[in-house]
Amino acid sequence: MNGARVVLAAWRWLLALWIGELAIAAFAGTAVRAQVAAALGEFALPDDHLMYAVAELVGFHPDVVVAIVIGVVGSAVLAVVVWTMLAPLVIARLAGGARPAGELGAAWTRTLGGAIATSAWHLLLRAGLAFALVGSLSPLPPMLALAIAALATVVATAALDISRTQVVLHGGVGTSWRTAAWGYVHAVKRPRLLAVLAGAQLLQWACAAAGLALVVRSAGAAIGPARVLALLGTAIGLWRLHHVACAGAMPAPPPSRETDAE
Amino acid sequence: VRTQVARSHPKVVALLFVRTRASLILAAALACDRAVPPAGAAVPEPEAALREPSKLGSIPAAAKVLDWDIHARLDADKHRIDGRARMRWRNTSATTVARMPMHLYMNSFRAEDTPWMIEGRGRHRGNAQGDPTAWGYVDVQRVARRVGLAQGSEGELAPLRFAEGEDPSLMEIELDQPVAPGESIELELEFVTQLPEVFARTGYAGEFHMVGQWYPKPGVLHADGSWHTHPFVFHSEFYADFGDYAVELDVPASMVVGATGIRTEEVVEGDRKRITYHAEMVHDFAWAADPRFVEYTTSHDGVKIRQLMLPEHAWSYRAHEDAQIAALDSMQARFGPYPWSTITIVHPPTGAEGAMGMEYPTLFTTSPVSSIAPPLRLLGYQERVSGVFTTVHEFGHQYFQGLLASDEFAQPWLDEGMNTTSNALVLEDRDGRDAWVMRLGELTFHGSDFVRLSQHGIDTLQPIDVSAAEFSPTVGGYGGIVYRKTAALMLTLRNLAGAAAFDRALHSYAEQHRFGHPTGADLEASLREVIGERVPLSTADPDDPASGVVELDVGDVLEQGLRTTRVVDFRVHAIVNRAAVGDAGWHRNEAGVLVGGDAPEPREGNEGPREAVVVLHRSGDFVIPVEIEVVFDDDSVIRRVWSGRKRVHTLVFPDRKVARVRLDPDAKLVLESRRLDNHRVAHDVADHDDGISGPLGRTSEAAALALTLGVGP
Repeated sequence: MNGARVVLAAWRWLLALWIGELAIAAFAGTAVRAQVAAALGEFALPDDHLMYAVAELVGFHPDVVVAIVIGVVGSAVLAVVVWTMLAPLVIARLAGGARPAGELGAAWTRTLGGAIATSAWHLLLRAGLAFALVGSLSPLPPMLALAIAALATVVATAALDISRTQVVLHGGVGTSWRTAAWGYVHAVKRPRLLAVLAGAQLLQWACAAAGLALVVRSAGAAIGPARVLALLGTAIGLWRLHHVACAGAMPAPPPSRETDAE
Repeated sequence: VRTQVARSHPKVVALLFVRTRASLILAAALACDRAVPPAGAAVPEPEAALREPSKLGSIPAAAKVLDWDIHARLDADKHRIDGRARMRWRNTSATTVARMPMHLYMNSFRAEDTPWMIEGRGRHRGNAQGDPTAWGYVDVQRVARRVGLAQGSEGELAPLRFAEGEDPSLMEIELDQPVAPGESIELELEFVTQLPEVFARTGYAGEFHMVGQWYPKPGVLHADGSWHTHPFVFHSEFYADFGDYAVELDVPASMVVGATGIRTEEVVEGDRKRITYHAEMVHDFAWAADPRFVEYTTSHDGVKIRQLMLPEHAWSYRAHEDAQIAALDSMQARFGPYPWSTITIVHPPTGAEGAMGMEYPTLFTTSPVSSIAPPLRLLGYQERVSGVFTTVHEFGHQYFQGLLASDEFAQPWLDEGMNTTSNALVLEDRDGRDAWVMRLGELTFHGSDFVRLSQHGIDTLQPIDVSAAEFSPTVGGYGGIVYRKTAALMLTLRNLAGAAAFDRALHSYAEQHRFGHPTGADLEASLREVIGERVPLSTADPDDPASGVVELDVGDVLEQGLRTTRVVDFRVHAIVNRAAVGDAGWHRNEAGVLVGGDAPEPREGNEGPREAVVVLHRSGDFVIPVEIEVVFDDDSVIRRVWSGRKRVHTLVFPDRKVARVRLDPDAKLVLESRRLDNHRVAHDVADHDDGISGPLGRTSEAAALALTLGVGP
């Protein structure tokens, strides 16, 4: 069964994840809407010169900016937490097909800790990568720096997918930093797999960027199409995970010195 | 071998082909984007510095005061100029003159304790002095008067005493013989000018040399016999008399040079060349040189437009050319013909940002057009002002200072502020009335919005009509007040009094004072005379005939706007829809007997007679009429004009229900920066839409959705 069919077969999962994303994003939208409405009270903006009006609004009501930042960043943080929790369950479902809920639940319970641990290791590795990149990219032309940063993010995402899959499906030790680091090595050593994952990731980003661009360009009117694009992006994400799951176990990392000594 | 590979590894060959083709396409695309565009055939240098008489307008007899012959030799390695100037000055005042104060502007960059540097601390418009030892100065070595001039005789030189002032940007020459009214004097000066590393208009950056305010210049003698010479302080610009220039520049042969006036001769001798320039009826001479300059020329309406830029900026030459042409067309139509035959646009290179955005007669420096990053373009960000607005602005100075040569020290608003006003009008002529200059999707930012931004915080500390010395870079506010608040005042006046009358007034001012030194009083007189002292804005309010006709008092608006710090601010204070008062209770009848005594009729909801009350508040001190738009619940609309004289104005509408009220609905009061409280919706209107919480909420939701998708599965 190819990846698309697997994703379509798991349509309830897809819809559930999508609705979850919409709910998280709606939290940001509602908070901002309420804050702006409270700031304006009975007043309303003019019909034109809207950019000036928005600048004046945030100038006199900086709490609106705070609401936007907290809403948007808070949503992203919430999404990271929720997805870190759900990832083992989704990977298990995509790899094993439809299974009884109890069986899936047991697999989830068994691998959740490891998946969270390896995600945490990846977070640290990403922080290190970002720290290294910030210094080295700053002298480069902005677009080149952006392209390199995007490439690094794609590699990091592929590595995380590989590590999580290793933990959930192949008994990888999530608490070991080497499982996380080996995800990077494995991603780089399998360029074809990396290319597919990168392509899928870029398509997801394209869906996200297109949705955001539609909404910004239409001053909020095109939120419906943006939501549909989010569904498409989520489906691509599930396809990506299925592809990793089907790529098989990665070779075990080389033994550590401590292991040698034993 | 290739054939073998092709046969055995067809996919590899295909991949190589695709890669090669993609690389070629990419390279071609990059090359197309940044290649130096062809310059086309060079437009020949005009034969005369001034245009034909029909484009020249009248030159007042008293306007031509000062003629120059200058020889300057540039040492490009030391960034030093050895200069020799012969200056013929005519006393056009009614007083005999025995001394001549001079400006030595370059000396302001001589040490860290000059008045200019004390204020600027080595920074100007965000550009910092680079090499702390790269000082600039002008060292006058000899001043002499030429005596015994006769037909065919050069006469002799009589040395004159001279001394720098306490502020080294000033110098005074003692004339050995007083100069009577109408008489002339011919002086010779020898000087050495050391250019600073450029951070404030003039100087060098590597091979680039921007040579402005580089020679000693006398002050301006007014008709009453008073010299107007100003120390060069941080916000001060320049003031000088009109005259003709013949300038010979001796520069390295590799240099491409742009200068005030027309090029009349160019002679190469070994590794040097001598270029001669001629300019007429200008009050300054500036030049730029760089061996890397490429040149683009065109001609429009008989004016040669010449651009000098480095190859990396050449891709944007057309945008600047279009802006220059738009500005030329607009300003000629509004302020009379441009009198000179050339205009040179210098694009300082990267590293010489301090030289960007400065005006000199028939030459100005501009700034680069920004390229919009693809992510911003994706979000729908567009702008049509970066770089080209600098071109519009600096060309505008050819009128507001180049032709209407006001005292920039005493009344800087007359050139910077009036020029900013004219820039807004150029944009209107180019793009339509109040067209957007920047947009993000549906959110638009207009030329008038830039101007409107002048009324916040520090920009209200000073009135407009004060000298440059009253402003301090430590406090700030110069740009907001002098540039933008002036424009806000003028555009407000234009919107209220009517564009046609205002434009006629500015045209009259420009025509009347060409090649002159107009003052603020001259401009105010033109505005009041042509627009009229009082402009009726409305007939009497039919509901309140006693209120009389609402009029705009032009003089009062100018007085408040130019010489006070009052702020324009209005607010819709309240909208009340309520039951009207009935006639229950006791009243006397015609016979004087109390009758009635009924109880008020019980009313529920909106039953019974009703009325609407609108309360308006003038929150700012600036008294100016404002238009009111009232929208009723049946979507009918009325407009009124309120004189704004009282602090509070109340409108009562019997038997009506008001849905919303807008103050200044057409955004005519560009002086009003705080407009969030200008549009109020009645609290009992069911579909209250503030116009922004929804769009901002949905945009935030989309941003959150994008991030969620980015970090999710």
